[in-house]
Amino acid sequence: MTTTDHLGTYRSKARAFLETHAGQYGWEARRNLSLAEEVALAKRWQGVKAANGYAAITWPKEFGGAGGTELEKIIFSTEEAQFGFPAGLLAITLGMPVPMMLHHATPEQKQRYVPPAVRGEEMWCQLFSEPGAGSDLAAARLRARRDGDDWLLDGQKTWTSYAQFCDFGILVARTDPDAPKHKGLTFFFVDMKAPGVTVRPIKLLHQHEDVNEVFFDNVRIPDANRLGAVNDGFRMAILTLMMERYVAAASDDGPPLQALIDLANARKLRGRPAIEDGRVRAAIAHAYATQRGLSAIHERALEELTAGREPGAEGSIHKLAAARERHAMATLALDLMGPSGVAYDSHAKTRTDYMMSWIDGPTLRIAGGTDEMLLNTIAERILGLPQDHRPDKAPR
Amino acid sequence: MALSYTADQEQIRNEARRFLEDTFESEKQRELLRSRGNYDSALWKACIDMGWTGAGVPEDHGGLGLSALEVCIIAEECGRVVAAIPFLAPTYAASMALREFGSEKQRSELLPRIATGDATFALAVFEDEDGLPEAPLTTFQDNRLTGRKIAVAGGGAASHAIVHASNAIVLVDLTASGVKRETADTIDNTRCAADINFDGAPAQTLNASDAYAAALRLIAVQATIAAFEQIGGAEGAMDRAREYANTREAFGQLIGKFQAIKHRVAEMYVTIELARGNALRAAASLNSGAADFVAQAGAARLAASHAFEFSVAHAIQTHGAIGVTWEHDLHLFLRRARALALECGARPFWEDVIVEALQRGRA
Repeated sequence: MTTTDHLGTYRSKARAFLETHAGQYGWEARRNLSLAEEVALAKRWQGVKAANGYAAITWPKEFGGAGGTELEKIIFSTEEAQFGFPAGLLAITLGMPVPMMLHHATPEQKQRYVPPAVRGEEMWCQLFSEPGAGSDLAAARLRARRDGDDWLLDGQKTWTSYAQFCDFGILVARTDPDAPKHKGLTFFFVDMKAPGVTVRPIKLLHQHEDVNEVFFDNVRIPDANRLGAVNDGFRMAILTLMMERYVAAASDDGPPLQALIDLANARKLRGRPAIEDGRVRAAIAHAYATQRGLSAIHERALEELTAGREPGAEGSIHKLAAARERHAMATLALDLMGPSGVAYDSHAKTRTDYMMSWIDGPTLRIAGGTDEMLLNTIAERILGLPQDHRPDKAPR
Repeated sequence: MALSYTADQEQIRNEARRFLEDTFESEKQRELLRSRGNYDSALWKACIDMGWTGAGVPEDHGGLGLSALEVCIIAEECGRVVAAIPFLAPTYAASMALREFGSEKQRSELLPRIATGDATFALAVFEDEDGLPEAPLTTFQDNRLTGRKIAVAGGGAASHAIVHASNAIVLVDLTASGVKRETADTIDNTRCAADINFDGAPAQTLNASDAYAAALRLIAVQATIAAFEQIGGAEGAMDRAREYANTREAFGQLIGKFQAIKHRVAEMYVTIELARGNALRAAASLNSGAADFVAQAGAARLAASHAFEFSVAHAIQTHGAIGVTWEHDLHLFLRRARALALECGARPFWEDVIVEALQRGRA
């Protein structure tokens, strides 16, 4: 059986499985849920996936994974996204922290921590950003001091997604305040329920509370919670961020193009259907071109993976281009609604509601790498342009 | 749907790139820009010798029988060096027209001549400011063609044209009596553009039941090939900007260290990759005969026109004053970007084509 045949079979089996559960866990089931209820639903869904061989598809079976391929994972998550399953709530857990455990923890630790995460029983967060260190990760100041065989953590992290629901987290802390900034950090994992850890949700502009401040007040962790060598934390953090070889297109998208066409058919401009207006037509045509371009890039990456090659770096443009397009489409849709466009429902989903898609725009362009950082990455990693002037970097 | 290149296709690309880089002389190009109706005849002859004109012609008619994608690869490499050969895309579109709508006699007569480079084609479809007229003023009666087509790329030198008339798609020998071509100065004189007047010129009809639909399909084919040429041009401009940002110093450091410069170049890359995704998809739809071909060609056209013009504008800005001199190569790209954006249907026209296809469920 060829790869293509195998993947076709895999896709149709996956789709049948997803269709069976869509009613219980998909778009409809998520309507009007609070964030806490969504998280609970996401954990239950993860358990169902684990029982059917669809959780952690690429991980070894001994840790609860499916022992499958990167391609199978991408095919599954692409299909999964179409039904609106709440997979995004565990994307961080399974995307970075737990894979880091899989690669760098002891055999005993892996046995303890990986399977429960795969089954959706435990969640993990990533504690990198601080009030004084956002994109500039190496400026982290949270202190970790030696105390016998333990470390004591003091300081603050911020913008931590889903920390209020998490059992564990990975973090970088400053272990050598005298070393140059990139060289004095160490990588740990931490029990979020340990004494001295305080989590405070931050209300973002759309009233969502996905991110948190996390305070560490003399939190004691054993040296066994250190991943990698002392003062090698910056390199470990970069490895974490490069964990995903190829991320499937974001599932948390704006409303589909057809929704805009339907709206333009229903609304009027100067007494005529808005779809007949050149400004509207131009916007629809350009949205089409952007979406088709992005999906072609995604499809090409799949073909590269199928052929056993590494996909190129084109995937890095996805968030940048998608965020802009989403904003343009949402703005036009609201404009077409006229005065009634101001209606706001804080429980609405970006996928089905233009106002939510619109107000989520600024967050999208900052979270997980600002537009400026993404452009720097493209310029430096792909195009070979020099790094910015960096007075903070130690002379080589 | 194959959106990736095979090893053989990469081989074609490498050969084309080597050949074009060796033969490109910007000085010669500047010379061609000085007067109207030009193209690089020596380069075109070399392309014929390389077998490129036979790429899209079936083997039983003396060609290489390659797919549209191979022609697209060659077009992209031509774009990278702003090659002054305006016949590639329309001639491929014409070979498609002959294969799809031509009689056995027309095919066996003309396809071999396209393969040998003896026949070159222009697509004559535009008449006035409207994109593709639903009812062209050009008429075809008793095997005679009468009317006027505007700014036909390659029209100043092509031996034949495919013409969109009010009731038919017709094939006309441009060297016949009753055909008068007028070249004019344009923003890019290397496109050899001409207004073509037909005054009872002898012509023969192609067997297309719906002339408008056939004409639209043909310019979609031309637009798909041109999109690759535009992407190549955009990359040529981006490469120059990269090189300059990596060598030019100001304020005590490489200008590439300034985000204002760096991000411009990264933005070029973003527009180019979006265009490439669309163009590859259009070529794949063309090859597979998918129903969304025309809409996808439109998406490729919008994205590639934007990528080229955007990249050139920002490459010039990256260079500062040297970028706006006659002696610098960037204006060759600037001129070509605008010429290609106008050549096979401008932006508003294609925006409408896409929306109509979406409305009819053919996108």
